[in-house]
Amino acid sequence: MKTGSMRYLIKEGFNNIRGNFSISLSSVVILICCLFLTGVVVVISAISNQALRVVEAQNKITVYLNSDIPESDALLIGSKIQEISNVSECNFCSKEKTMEKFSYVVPADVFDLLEGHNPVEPSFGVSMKDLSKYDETSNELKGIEGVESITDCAEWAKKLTHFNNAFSYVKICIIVMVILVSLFIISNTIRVTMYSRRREISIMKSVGATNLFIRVPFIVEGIVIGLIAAICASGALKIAFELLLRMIKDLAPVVSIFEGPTWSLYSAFIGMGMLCGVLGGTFSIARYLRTEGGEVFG
Amino acid sequence: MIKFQNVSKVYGNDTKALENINLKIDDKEFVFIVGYSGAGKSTLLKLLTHEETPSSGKIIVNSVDVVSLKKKQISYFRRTMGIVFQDFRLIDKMSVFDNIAFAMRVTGVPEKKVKERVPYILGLVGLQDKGDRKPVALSGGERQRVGLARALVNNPATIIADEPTGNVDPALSYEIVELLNEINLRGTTVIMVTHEHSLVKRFNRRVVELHGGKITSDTGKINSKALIKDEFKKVPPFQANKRAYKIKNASSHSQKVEVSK
Ligand SMILES: Nc1ncnc2c1ncn2[C@@H]1O[C@H](COP(=O)(O)OP(=O)(O)O)[C@@H](O)[C@H]1O
Ligand SMILES: [Mg+2]
Repeated sequence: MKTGSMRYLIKEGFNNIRGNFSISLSSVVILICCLFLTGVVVVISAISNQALRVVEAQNKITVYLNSDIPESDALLIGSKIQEISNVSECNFCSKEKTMEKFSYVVPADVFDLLEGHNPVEPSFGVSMKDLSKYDETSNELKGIEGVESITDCAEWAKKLTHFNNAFSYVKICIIVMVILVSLFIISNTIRVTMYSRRREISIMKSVGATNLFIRVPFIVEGIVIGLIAAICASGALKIAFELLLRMIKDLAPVVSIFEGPTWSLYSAFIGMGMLCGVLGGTFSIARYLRTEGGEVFG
Repeated sequence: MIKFQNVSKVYGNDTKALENINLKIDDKEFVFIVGYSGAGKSTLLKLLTHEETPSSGKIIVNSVDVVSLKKKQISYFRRTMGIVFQDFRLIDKMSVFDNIAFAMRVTGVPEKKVKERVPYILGLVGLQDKGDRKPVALSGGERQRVGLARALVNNPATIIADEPTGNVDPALSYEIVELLNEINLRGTTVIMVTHEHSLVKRFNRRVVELHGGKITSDTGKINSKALIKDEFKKVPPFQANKRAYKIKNASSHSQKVEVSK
């Protein structure tokens, strides 16, 4: 195709949008909402995956011992823990060491109230080889004499894993829905343009314009709508994430490690917007030309 | 040459629109197709443009079998024909110039050629001063001339006009046919459908009459060479643009339409 023709066809695509500005605008807005929703879902899923990895990386269970147990007995318990096949690591944390850790976060005057008494329990930080055998291993740990209680991050890991699994279905459903809605919106918008240009189309057919010439402006229209929506949704998502981050950063410094929307997400938006544009445009014009749009004399 | 061989058309609802049509139209002929509403006139044209396909029979245009044209070939085939509609089919938001240019632009003609060709065609139909107007600012007769200009602009071998005077003031109808007549004398085949018998009578041209989907009469080919002189004696050439036209290559196969001042 000649470049002059291509320029003409692209210009016509933009004319389609201008000619149906309010409808084009509302479909862009709906598409932005759809893509934004997808973005939110994808970002939540990414964050929860990151969180899971963080938790898994430090999949430590803390095994608390009776607070009045002598240190020699505690070390004996430590070797028993080490014997459990699923335990990979076991570090003793004495009463004093735990207290020292607290002293970094708890104001000093709180310690004054304790009057030299140390109420904390000595503990072991236990790492497991295989988190999925968590239940058995924790039962074995609880069975050891002198073990008071166990708390763990693994409980979190389990919850997160559950959440991730469930959410990945939700994510797929939402993405499929968004694609369908986008296709529907774009093809409907283009159908409206087509009806408003049905005279042009009939004239084009009568003077022997090729189907490519008839189609391309509508496909351009679809691509432009998809592209604008994708760019706006990317921007909106970025801004929303930054704002949210700024709001909760002070409350929980840990969130700053989370990655927000990525370039691959933005590229996916743009790809999806353009693809929906091409497909929406192609479907609706093909259907139109097969039916009433095929007439010349009418 | 256009040839219908034993052509019948039955629509989906069992309407027999055309029955066993045999018709031969030579290059550069002018043919009126007359008949009452529902006689099958439009169907005949639709078969010619491949908007409809015949239920049986053969349609040959310049040794091309129209019925067996492939989808991709249809648009190129249609470029050999210029279609004039009863309702003008002008695009209201486009100027007269752009309406005519549209036919060139959508067939991929470069803008430079468009700028050359459109003013020339505007002159040919006597609208050289009205290129900037919108169709609403024109009379019915003028609008149809724009329609005609658009049909002509890509230099088709055949003009197909379905009731081109149907929405034109009767007083101005004559002018439209006269313009078609002139275009024909320049070497373009013209097929004009009409139900206005009175209009047809004023032109000494071939008349094919359809009735109930059958050809009921055909005056046959009328020698247009003899006619050229006659026509020019009877009615002066179309002069709305105050130019004298010289018919070039009236008997050759060239489709070029030329005008000299
Ligand atoms: N698309 C169609 N479907 C069914 N019947 C049709 C269709 N087009 C035309 N007809 C019928 O075919 C007959 C001829 O129609 P047409 O060719 O339009 O006649 P004319 O142009 O001479 O008035 C009429 O009876 C009309 O009702
Ligand atoms: Mg008709």
